[in-house]
Amino acid sequence: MQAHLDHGTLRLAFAGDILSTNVAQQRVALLSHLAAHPTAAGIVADLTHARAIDSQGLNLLIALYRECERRQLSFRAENPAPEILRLFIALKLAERFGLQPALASP
Amino acid sequence: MLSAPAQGRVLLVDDDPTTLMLLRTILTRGGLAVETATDGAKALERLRELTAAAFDVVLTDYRMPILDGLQLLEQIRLLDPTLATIINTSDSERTTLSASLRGGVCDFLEKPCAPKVILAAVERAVSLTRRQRSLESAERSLADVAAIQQRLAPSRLDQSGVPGQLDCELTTRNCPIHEAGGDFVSVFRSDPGSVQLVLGDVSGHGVLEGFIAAYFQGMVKGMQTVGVPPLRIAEACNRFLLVEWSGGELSHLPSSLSTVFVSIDLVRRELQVLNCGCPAVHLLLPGQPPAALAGRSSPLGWFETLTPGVATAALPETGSCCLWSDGLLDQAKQLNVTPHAIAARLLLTSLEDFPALRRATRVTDDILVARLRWFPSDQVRADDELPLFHEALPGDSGPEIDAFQERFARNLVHALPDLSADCLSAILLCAREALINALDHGCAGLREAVAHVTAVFRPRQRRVEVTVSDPGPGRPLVAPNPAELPDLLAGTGHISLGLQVIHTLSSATREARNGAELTMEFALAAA
Repeated sequence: MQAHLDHGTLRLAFAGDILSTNVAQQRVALLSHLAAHPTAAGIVADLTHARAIDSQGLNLLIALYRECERRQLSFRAENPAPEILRLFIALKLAERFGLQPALASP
Repeated sequence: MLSAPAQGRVLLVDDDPTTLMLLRTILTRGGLAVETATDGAKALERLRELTAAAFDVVLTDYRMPILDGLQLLEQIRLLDPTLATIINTSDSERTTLSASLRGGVCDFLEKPCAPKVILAAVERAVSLTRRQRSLESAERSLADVAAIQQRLAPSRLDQSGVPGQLDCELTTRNCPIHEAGGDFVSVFRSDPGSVQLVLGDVSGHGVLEGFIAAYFQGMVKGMQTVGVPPLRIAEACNRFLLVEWSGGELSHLPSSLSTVFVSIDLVRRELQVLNCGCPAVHLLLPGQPPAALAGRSSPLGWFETLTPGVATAALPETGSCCLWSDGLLDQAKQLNVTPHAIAARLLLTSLEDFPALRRATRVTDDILVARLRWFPSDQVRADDELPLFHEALPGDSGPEIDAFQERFARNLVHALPDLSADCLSAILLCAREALINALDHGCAGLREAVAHVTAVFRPRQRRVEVTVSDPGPGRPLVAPNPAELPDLLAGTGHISLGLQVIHTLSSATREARNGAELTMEFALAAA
């Protein structure tokens, strides 16, 4: 996972799928990046390279979303693959994840 | 009609009487039978009158009135593409013709030409025509053999069950390497209450094996007709192969026959298998993983004493059994999918579409698959399910779940090539969620506990069903409680988000054993 500050927003680029088999490592990386950028005003989860997310991957994104709420940071997900976007829409997560309503509509 | 000397029969065409006479003399002295025509139209007339098959070569001038050499060649191609043609040209014409003929001509002769050169060119053309005709004849014979084999492989079994009892239905698909092959299937119904299915696989896969297969098919059918039991039939075939076929001598071509007999008694509701060298028969009962019956044993023609694999099973009201030849296992290995995925793909392809699938399928051995399904006689259109995939995973397989998902996807895509990307993605994700739950909770991560994933296809409903089961006690499946949403700092605890994913993406779900067995349904788009 790569991270960099972009005009005060911390962009977290996931390197690939977010699945039960790698979610533990992803969580450690997330916590480390959050700790390294305490001044970030918002978080962007860049999903360009993720082709699949399972429930534990969703848990991680939900947890990140909740962490942002707790810290009063903005949160949005970017560039989800069509399958992932469909999943977000079906689980009513698309809007919470800041995806465009036009994209989020089925 | 021309006589047919070994040197060949020539139709000589030239509008110049002197050239015609000269060439005729050369060819006749060379031992060839010659017919002549003074232009292309007359040549065509002779070809139609005597038939193109009456000639081995046409030697024609290029420049002629009415129909020139090139136009004549085009007509000859339509009449008989195997008939070789030589065009007699001047050097300048040859360059032009070479570019335009695109190989449709056998040879060119440049005027003037020495007798020796003319005779050598005609000899080559005669030889080419005869080779092409021989090849065409062999291809026709092979196609005839293949047509007979396809006809002999029954694709269906007439329904004639006793009301209130069971009846059955047969589906077979034959996919030989060449047009004809060494696999055969034979079905015999002695009375409405009993059916005997025999699958045979002769070693090798050519026309000769096609002949041997036809011989044994006839032998087996004859013995079935007079009520000889399967073991006696196998013994008779074994004796024939050992004693009469090769005579026990290496100087004769040895041959072996792998064969499996499945006898179904629809009244006593019993299935018996006798297997001599074929892959195991798979018993497919609703809601259960496929069960392999009567595995490997020696084929017929190896040893004097038979050691067949035998098995007996009770028949529930509905179910099916699937038999296949070795070639199917080879292809499964080659494509890295399960035999069930290969069998499903073949069996789900309609007879109309099957020739195209056969042409597109690269096989290394003949493949034959047969499926016999039984059901109450008043429910001919009863629900049916065809297995696509089954895998048993030890409880500690969690870290390998990505590899499992790849295998599962590969099998589904092979068995159901028209599965949409959306549907495939939903099936994979739901199966993954259910399996994670089964491994983590039902099996408690223990190696000795085993979770099962089974996928079946219901053709009539066009529906895929995936069942994931574990040996655990199950637990109530509840929707996620928002208050229990995960906390990043506390770790990603287990909530039933996976269950919500399953309910959202599948068409329907069914639970058994307090949720320890979960079946998820996925509707496919109409075909």
